[in-house]
Amino acid sequence: MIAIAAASFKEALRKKLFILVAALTLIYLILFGTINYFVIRDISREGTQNTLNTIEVASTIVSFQGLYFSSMLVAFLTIIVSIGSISSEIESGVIHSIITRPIKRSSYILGKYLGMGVLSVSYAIFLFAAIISICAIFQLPIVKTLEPLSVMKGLLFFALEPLAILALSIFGSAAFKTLSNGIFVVSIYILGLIGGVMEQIGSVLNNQSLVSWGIISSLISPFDIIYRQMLSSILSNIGVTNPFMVASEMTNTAPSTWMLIYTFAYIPGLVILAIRKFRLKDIS
Amino acid sequence: MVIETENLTKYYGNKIGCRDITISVGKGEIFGFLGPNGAGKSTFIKMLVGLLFPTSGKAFVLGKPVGDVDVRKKIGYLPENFKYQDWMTGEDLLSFHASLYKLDKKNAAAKMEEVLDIVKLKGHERYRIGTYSKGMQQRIGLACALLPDPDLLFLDEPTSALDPVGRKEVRDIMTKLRSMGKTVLLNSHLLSEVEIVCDSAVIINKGSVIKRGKMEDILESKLILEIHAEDLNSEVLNKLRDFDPGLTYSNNMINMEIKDKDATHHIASIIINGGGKLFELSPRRVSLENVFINLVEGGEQR
Ligand SMILES: Nc1ncnc2c1ncn2[C@@H]1O[C@H](COP(=O)(O)OP(=O)(O)OP(=O)(O)O)[C@@H](O)[C@H]1O
Ligand SMILES: [Mg+2]
Repeated sequence: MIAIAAASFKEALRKKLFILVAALTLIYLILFGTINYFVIRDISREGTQNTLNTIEVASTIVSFQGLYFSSMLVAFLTIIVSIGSISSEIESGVIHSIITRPIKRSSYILGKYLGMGVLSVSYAIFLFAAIISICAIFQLPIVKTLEPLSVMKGLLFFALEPLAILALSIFGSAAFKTLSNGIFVVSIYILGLIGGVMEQIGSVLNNQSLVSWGIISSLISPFDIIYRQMLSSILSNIGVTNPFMVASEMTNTAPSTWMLIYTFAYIPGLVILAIRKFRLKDIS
Repeated sequence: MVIETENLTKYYGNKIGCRDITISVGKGEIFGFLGPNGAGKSTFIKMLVGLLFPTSGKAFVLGKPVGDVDVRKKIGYLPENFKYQDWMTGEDLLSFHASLYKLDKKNAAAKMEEVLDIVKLKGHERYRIGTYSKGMQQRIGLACALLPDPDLLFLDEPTSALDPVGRKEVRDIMTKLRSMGKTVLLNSHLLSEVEIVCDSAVIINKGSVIKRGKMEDILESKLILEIHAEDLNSEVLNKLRDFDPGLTYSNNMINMEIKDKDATHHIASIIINGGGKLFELSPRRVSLENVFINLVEGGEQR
């Protein structure tokens, strides 16, 4: 299992797309720093007559620009390294000499999960730390209000999101061809984003059927829930939890406990499904 | 028995892969598994190494039912397509497979040296497999299969990409393994090689066994006689037809099949006593290729 994990970790690092992600990350961090710079300059120029508003703007930056796009970058990286992790080895035939060695098929799946999990979690931690550090360097007002403990809690959820996406993607890779899995995973990811917005708009408008649809899509695709839980862990004392809600009324949109428990079960659930799908799969 | 199968059958949907294959292969044998394209040879091997799951029937390797993970520590397999991670170097690949085989570190390094030497890839181990030629890729694949010092080796067309020297080397590897009491299941289209190296074989066609036995039984004791003789009268020819009614005669060349080599000198004296001039008489064994083609074509006609 460790051998598989190490090999798939290294292989992911060698992908050309990984260089693309690294370049994107760099550009993104530079842009993020630049935005911070201008915001801080303009806030200090206006003076501090409206502190609440200032904090709100700054929080928006952190939550929206910073963490929202970072979580998308992490999702992007996770998806591109993992959609073909199993299917492409089946398609190329590389797998023939691997799973005929003394290794259980379940260890093969778990090894893949472990190797790519370490990679995407490391990337998530790196991005998270970079965003928070940039905010701290520019001394955004929000940084002063952050509790270290809640930041750590936020990081936990920030790293949980790629692990959930990975579980889905590995299941898809064990079940489908690489191309189909790409479409499968990306659609489900987008479904989650839309579902999250639907649920929140629904709760603002008190529209129960919107909320229900949102919840159903979140069950299939709980990534947005994890993201919102991450934000509410960090920013609970401020109340801004969704970029799309900033302009209208602010609602406390932290997911329900049941939903959280569900998301925790989602990961092992999908990994088990992947193993079951793969265990008796004919490979020819 | 090292390999034992009982009515092993695989259907792909409702398409036949192979059907009711019952074989047993003893320790220290090189066993040929032969048949035309699409006969089901690779299907059969893939079931024995655990890539495919049988539709019905049973199979045991090294005394354990197929699918037993631990027993694979002593099994080597070279797949038909020999595709490896092209981003790895030869060395990376070997150490990856060494860890899949759970060899301990020290043992692994020595083993890696050894197999690199066997497949003649010393000096190439630092290059990426993507830069290897087809034959080199097949060699590194064989090296991986040899890593665990296997008691049982499955080779699915192991020489398909190799040059004549490489083919000879693989033959030598197989005979050496046999002398160490190891067992090899060989699937190959190069029948002249199979004939040299295999102790027994089965021939399958369209998924079913059509011939099986020790190599000499498959080849039978038949001989083919090629005779160059002149001034043959019909009396002589009729006498020769008693040996083989199907003999052919043209341009002073006779081509006939005889049951055993004792007939050879009878034939020579018939020709000479009948006034014929005998220039050349050469007996040769029926080749596996002859047997194979007759069987497979015979099967087509039926
Ligand atoms: N994945 C698959 N799906 C459907 N049919 C398959 C599959 N793989 C093989 N077959 C069919 O099973 C039969 C046996 O194929 P197999 O690969 O075992 O032949 P083979 O004897 O190894 O041939 P070759 O000498 O060409 O390697 C063929 O008719 C083939 O079409
Ligand atoms: Mg084949």
